[in-house]
Amino acid sequence: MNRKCLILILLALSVSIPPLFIGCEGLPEAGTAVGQAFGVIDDEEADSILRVGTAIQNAWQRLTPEQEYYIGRAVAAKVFQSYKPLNLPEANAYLNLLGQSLVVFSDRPETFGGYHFMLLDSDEINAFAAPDGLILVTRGMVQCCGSEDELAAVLAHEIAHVVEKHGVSAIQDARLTTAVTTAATEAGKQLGGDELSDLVEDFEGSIGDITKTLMSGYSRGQERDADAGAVRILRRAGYPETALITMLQRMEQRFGKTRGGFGSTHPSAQSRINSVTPEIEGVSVPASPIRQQRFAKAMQAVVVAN
Amino acid sequence: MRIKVLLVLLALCAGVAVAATQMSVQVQKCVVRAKPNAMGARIVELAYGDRIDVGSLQNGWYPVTVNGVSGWVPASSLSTKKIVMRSGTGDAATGASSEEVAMAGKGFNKQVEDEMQAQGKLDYTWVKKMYDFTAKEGDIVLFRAQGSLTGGGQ
Repeated sequence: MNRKCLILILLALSVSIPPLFIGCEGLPEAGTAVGQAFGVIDDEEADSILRVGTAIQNAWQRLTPEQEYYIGRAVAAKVFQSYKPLNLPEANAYLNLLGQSLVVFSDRPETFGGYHFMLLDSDEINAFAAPDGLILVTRGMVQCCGSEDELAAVLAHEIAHVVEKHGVSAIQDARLTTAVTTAATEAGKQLGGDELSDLVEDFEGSIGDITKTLMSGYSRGQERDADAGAVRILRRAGYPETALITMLQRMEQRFGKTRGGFGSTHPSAQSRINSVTPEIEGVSVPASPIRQQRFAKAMQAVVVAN
Repeated sequence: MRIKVLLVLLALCAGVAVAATQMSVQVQKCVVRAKPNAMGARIVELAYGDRIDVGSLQNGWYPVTVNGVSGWVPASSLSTKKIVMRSGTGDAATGASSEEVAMAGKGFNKQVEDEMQAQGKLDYTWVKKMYDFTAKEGDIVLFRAQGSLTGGGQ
């Protein structure tokens, strides 16, 4: 062992254990200090462990939920520059009822400003999750779904992106230098001209980073995580997990009839099906005529609006 | 020797875990629920920055006691940092580190959003309307019951 094993234990203490405990920021230092005191690691190794322990947090992980809220609002506003809202109160009410009934079963049931869902007036098959929970779904995406269960799968996938904070993870670290530096900024203080100007510039850059990612697509790994998260949410909420599979199959069939959106941006539907299939536990869920009826009623309004 | 090292490390972890039991609400509305489940009955609502004593994390939920009543709060709604709501407080004045304290309204904030609007860079009209789109908890319960959604496991 055993020096190597002990170093591994110290590394684990530095990197893995802190999130399990409250207020463990001091643990990397404590772990390495113990190692040094017992003479099992030298100063150079101690420095290395400390670097690993402190470098795991990127700038976006230091954003507060409140800042994520303002970023999410701006990202949604940016999406509205390219897509018109579909102002159908009944259909949007149904979308929000369905969305909220899924949110409560996510690992992040409350965000700073809460989750809110809205339809977009576009034939493109697409959906966007702005940070903090503003979720936008195109008419084309809704029409691509054959049931409430499949629409639930789409929303659960977008909710999972919010839970995992995939949007803000697209922001380049350099843009957040001012935003995450708090020592000089007192709460409630009005920002001065230069400071405000710098922040607005960084803010615009951050919004640009996220919208570029929303339009061009998340990484395959993030899509895989969002699909796995969607399956968990569907299972907990009582929807059939396989709705995600049938939705992906339906999307693949439609790709020839659309441009842009999921068709050109995401990993192929088949590769997503292959990745997510092992996550499905196969809990049996009986079909519900009521679910189908209320979905058809909401969809009727969307189709008429086209 | 190895056993001694491990014992010291374990004691260290246990000490930290027991000592840190107060957390801050980091969302605008945080509902304390009777069960560790977002469909659990509402007990009370906490506000941004409220400090509460928490027990041991269980499946993503912290047991809490508010005004003598026990309940549960989702871990994602809490922060280990103290959230400073107003300027001129002790923490702000003494320059507590960002690891210990988060300033409400710091960095990307309402002033930045207002500036984006003032400069005509973004139109928030529909974004603001989206916040009116929500669903009452009673309606969610009814929606689930009518749709034969009998899940509910965390």
